[in-house]
Amino acid sequence: MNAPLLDVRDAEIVFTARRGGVTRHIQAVSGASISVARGQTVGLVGESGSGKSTLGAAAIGLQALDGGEVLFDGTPMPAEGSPAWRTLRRRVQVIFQDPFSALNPRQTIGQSLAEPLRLHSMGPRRSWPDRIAELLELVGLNPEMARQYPGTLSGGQRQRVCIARALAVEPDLIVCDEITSALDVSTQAQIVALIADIQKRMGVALLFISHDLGLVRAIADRTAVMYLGRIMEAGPAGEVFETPRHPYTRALLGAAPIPDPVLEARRERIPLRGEIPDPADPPSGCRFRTRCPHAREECAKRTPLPEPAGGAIVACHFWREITGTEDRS
Amino acid sequence: MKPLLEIADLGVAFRTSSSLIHAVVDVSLTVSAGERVGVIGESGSGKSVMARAIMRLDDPRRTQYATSSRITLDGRQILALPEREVHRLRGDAVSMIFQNPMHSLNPAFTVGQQMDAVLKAHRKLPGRDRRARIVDALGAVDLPAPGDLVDRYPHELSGGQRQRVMVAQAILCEPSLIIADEPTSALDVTAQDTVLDVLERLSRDKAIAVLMITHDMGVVARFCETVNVMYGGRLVETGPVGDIFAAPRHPYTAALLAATPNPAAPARTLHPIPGTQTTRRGSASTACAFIARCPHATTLCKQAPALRQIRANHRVACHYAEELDLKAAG
Repeated sequence: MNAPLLDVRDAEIVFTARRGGVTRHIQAVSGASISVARGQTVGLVGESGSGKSTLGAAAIGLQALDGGEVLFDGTPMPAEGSPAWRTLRRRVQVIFQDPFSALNPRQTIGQSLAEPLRLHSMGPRRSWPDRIAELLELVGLNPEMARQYPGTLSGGQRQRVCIARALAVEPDLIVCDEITSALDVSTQAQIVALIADIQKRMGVALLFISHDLGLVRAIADRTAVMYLGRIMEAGPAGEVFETPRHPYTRALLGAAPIPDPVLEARRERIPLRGEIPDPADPPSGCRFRTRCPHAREECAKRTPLPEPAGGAIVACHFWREITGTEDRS
Repeated sequence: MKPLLEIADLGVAFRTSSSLIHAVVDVSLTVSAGERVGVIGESGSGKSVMARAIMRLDDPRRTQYATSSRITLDGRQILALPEREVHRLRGDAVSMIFQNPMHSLNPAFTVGQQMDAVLKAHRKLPGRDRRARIVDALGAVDLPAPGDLVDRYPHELSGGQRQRVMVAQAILCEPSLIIADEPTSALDVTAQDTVLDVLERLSRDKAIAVLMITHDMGVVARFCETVNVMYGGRLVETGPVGDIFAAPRHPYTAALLAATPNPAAPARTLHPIPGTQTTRRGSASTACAFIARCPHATTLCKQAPALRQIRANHRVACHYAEELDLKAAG
């Protein structure tokens, strides 16, 4: 069997925060596993505080683990600063939410794009101008733009530059962390269409992190749903969206408005109790139990481990009962 | 029946050091008592400027209203009122809720203290009655243990709870209209669902009209009865939500729907709208606002189409509203 391109196993990430003389250990990610195959798009959804961005940062070595491991192409993350680390830094790229802070305002677009070429010695220096023009065309921008500064660009144009910069070093994996949240709907659709097209043509794998369920559905082959540091459900995107099995996935989908008044009126809504618990003091057992409409004693005692459910995996003791009462095609 | 709010031929321009920016051009819309009306548009569409004009929130030194503009609220001519009287309306007959509750709440005061300041400004009531009314309002927005909540500080609440505090504050003086400017855009979907639930219930039970300013077609489908689509400062389409989603007649509305991600649609691809929206400087444009990005534009579109009725309550500003086959484009 081929090893997945990215394989995060049982990741644990704890942040230590001191406030008012009290030290708090925030469990951002707890035993979360996620894998991305070559050329695949995996959507990672969750609400704020779910740990999805932290897990994404760990996946590309930007965040150290306190437990578990990250395998890239079957081999563990190399030590920071080693030659293998440098190679890895080329093979994995990241694009962030805010294209306004991601580009140096004092560098031209051309200079910003030359930076990764220089860092990773991508071909002779004289080939760079052509390569930069090619990259700009690839993301639908005029090559003339290389001479401009970011200040003259719109948010959508800047995000295109960020995509071009990520592509400059021919990566195998790009982590996209909420890359369209700062953009308008029409620009968002342009960026998503662009990244999906590039993904297809170049075969690069994407870890697409977003709080927007509709967006993830539009782009992902597989979807993982995260809550309070744990993966609650993961599987083929169609299956997770059409036959959600975990109560949290069902609640999340039930809360998302559908831009179609007919379907919207029929949407099955599952009201959640209370608020997301403090990640420094998460509930015992299942982390979702304090808000779950199906929770019982068992859920506080034992942590549900992800188990196979159809083509997906679900971390819930009672998913069979919860979904069993419905018609299933 | 006379509408509660009537905006007629509203034009709003801002003076900058070098030019005049036309943020809203010729917008007319009405809101009936108890009605839930949406205004949808992307950034720069003029939707928030239009909303702020209803309460005259923009700096009068740099804001110009077109001379034909009229905003009538419950028989009062808002644009002609002295500032003192507009001030009295704010938070009383009309309340506003904004996107970020943390900007509207003072971190140094308890929830009860801030709500009390609003109540004191508008109603002469003894302190005990005011507190009772505040606790009632917090209960009405489904906040747990409202009696304790009055003495809590904003930082002790979650984002969704803070926004519900803002809704509670908005209903303190039993307004006839709430203007909600992207009230759920900063919230997670589960918190958004609760806030929209609460607003919808209040609107029904207390016959409060809500003008919902949003960029999210999902929120419109979820919450509104009527929708107004704005683009480039102009109103391009308006009508019942069901009609407009089923058969949009303006190319921009159709394009916006096609660009909106849908969690219930099987992995469909999104259809982007090419180009970007531009802001008019100098003189207001005489062309259709959407001309630069419209796949159907012709030379006729250099003359701005008037908003005209094509069906009951459904009005569209497009020369080709009847002819275009827009569903196929989506």
